Amino acid sequence: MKHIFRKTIALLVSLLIIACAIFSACNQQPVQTTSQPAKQQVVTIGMEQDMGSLDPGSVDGMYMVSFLVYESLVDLYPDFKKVPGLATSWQMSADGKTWSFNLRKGVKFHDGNPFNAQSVVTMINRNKKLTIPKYGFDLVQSMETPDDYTIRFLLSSPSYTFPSDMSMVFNAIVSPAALDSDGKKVLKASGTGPYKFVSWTKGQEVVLVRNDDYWGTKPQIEKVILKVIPDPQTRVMAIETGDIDLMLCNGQVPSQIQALKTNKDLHIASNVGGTCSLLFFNTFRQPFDDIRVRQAISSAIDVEGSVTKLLADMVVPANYVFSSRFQEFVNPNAVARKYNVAEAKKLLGEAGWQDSDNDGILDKDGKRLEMTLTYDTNDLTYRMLAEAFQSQLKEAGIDVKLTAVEFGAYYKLLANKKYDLMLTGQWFIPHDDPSQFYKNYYTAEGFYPVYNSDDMEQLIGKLQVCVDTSERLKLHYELQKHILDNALMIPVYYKLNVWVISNNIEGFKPYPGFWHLYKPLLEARVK
Amino acid sequence: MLRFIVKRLALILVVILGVTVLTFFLMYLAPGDPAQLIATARYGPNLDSQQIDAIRTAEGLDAPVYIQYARWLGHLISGDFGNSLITGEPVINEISLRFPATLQLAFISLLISLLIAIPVGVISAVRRGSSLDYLCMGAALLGVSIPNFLLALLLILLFSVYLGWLPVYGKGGIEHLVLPSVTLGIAQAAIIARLIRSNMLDVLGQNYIRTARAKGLPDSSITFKHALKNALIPSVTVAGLQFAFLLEGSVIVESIFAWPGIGKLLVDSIFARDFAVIQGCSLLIAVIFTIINLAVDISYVYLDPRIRYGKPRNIG
Repeated sequence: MKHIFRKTIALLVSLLIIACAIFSACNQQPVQTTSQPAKQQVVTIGMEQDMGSLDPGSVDGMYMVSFLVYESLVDLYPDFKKVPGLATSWQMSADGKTWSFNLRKGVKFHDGNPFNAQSVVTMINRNKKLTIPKYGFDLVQSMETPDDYTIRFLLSSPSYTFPSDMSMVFNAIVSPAALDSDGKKVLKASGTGPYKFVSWTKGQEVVLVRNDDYWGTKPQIEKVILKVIPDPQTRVMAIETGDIDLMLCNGQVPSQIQALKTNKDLHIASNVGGTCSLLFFNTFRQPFDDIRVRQAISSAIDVEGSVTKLLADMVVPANYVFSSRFQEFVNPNAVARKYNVAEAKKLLGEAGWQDSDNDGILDKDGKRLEMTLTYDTNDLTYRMLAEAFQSQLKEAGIDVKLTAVEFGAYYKLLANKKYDLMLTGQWFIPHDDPSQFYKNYYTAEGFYPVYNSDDMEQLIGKLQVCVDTSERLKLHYELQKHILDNALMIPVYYKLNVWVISNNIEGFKPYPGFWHLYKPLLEARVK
Repeated sequence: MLRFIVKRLALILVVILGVTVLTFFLMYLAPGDPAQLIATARYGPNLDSQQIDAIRTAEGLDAPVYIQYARWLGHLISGDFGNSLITGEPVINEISLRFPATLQLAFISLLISLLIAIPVGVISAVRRGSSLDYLCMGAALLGVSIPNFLLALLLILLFSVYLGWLPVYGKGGIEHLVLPSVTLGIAQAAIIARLIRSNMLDVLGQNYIRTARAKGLPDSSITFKHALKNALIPSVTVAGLQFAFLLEGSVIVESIFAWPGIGKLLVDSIFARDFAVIQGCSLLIAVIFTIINLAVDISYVYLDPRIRYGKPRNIG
């Protein structure tokens, strides 16, 4: 009767084979496995997040893909400095309320329609109808188009940063023919960029091909395949096996990057990018309302040592309010305090904190110097640093408890001022001009106010309406000095854009910013 | 029997309604401001309070929770699952795009698990106490204990990185199915094999088996015809429920293998508080679970003639 058993097994095996055959026949996409043969200019990139939408500014995951397909009036590629994009030049009126842009002639959208002033008007009017982050377009009261290739924006209030705002992904120009009848939804990915959109298999891959009618220098890479690989370990293994040619490190640990460095088929290149990570004090609470306590904590933490030891290759220690990618805006004389435990103890002593019961922790009026350090539980770098800071602060006589919270709770605590110390990413700075940063943290109307003073409010108010370049720079310098002199926060690290690149790709130079991370493909080629 | 099925179907409706109510209200107990989390998923964290309030109003998140639930239910009754709060796409599209991938993975995983579990369970029961039994049950213990993310990574390392036989990730031909379905299948196999073994041992000690032996039936006939058939009945319940679990999508396995299934969609939606998608997915999962449960119960009637629904003395 063994045959019954055999029959069961045979049935299961045949079911398995049939199922495999049916399912593989049902698959929507042809298999895209190993790396392409050399000379064929095809590059496969492993990306963490799917693009989510065809709309350039609609979903977080789309941003990086956007700037291969779409373009803005002003470009920030390759050096994070404003350069002509779809506009060739721009001028501001003396009062800062009118901006004129001269548009590039002879540019066509991927659908064949010409790019002109009317396409810009359509896009700005569309953006005004949507609930998307308001960058610049919300200030536009009216638009004038004296001819097909000139557009004049009349603003409701002076804005010096308007061209920078126009560089953003939210203001990328989509072909008016690609919008739905309401003029709101983007139905086709038709831009003017160096790559044309071919296909998008949700949750799997996006395929782009070179736009042979591109107005600028045509890239050498003919086809870009963007594979969605959410897991950081899988992305590493995919590049090790040659399934993908490029990946941006995100979520990997330093030891993985070390291991990748030893792989002779790959190389690693990086550039400063993202934002700065900071340690905030709750200045609305005791004892952080005392500048000496804030200065003491700033001196007691060895930022440079901890960051270099724990997170080498991924980030660089921070000394200034902004990273070097903000170039002329960084005040070279506003520098973070140096690590000095003796200085920290001295400052705390001056503030009245003594170790009266010899337990190693300072106290004052019977109260121990205890505090919590809150960080986002999903961020591995914060966890590693928080533990290091905890032990360094103990040396200075401060008892720190670590509190890891989920992302949703994190911003709520920051907004409701329910924390002592908080490790957090700098408010995302959307373009080359960091003016917006101060408003969000250091004014009463900011979303996450961490400090209020009349001096700061005044300086920030002045900066918002100032339209004189050198005057603005002075205000920037003054504000940064004010922040660090008053120990309002501790700059911790600048994130690096770390790329792992297959050795068969040459010329890929990592970009020092955020939106244009994939744009170095324009200079790259397959060997 | 028909009465039993009708009654169960009515109960299923109540259960499903309960699940939707519970999911909806639980989402509001999670920390964080939904409007802000939705805004962050859409545009990154760079929004001020006015912009977040605009999203709150636009998506109707400013209404009390019960009103929001009533609105959702109203739309559902008219067949509208709503649109994703993040991508703006209809929820039904998002789910129907991903569910086939999960179904495919779940089906193959279950088949693999049965292919491993039945022989392993039977052999270790028949050879009880032998080194083969210890080997099989040791392997099963390992299979149950090993976390699937670790198993997944080990399998990728061995078969993709070192041997280069199979692709690391993604959905494509049969070769893409092997590693994720084996990863999921092994844990299921371990559970089912242990169950089959203990049921087999139970059955092998029954009087009718002794009778069969006394009649001089060959061992193989006793094992497969008399014992296995009966020992398989409880395994059907477990296999059915395991299949339902697999259909929810395994977020870890789907993430590691970049498998575009429903598990990943659900977890991403939870982090972004994409209520419409969370509700849609939980509704689907509730329906699958209850239907599979019903199917398992009905299948008993055919597998075990002793079970008869609808007759009062047999209803537990």
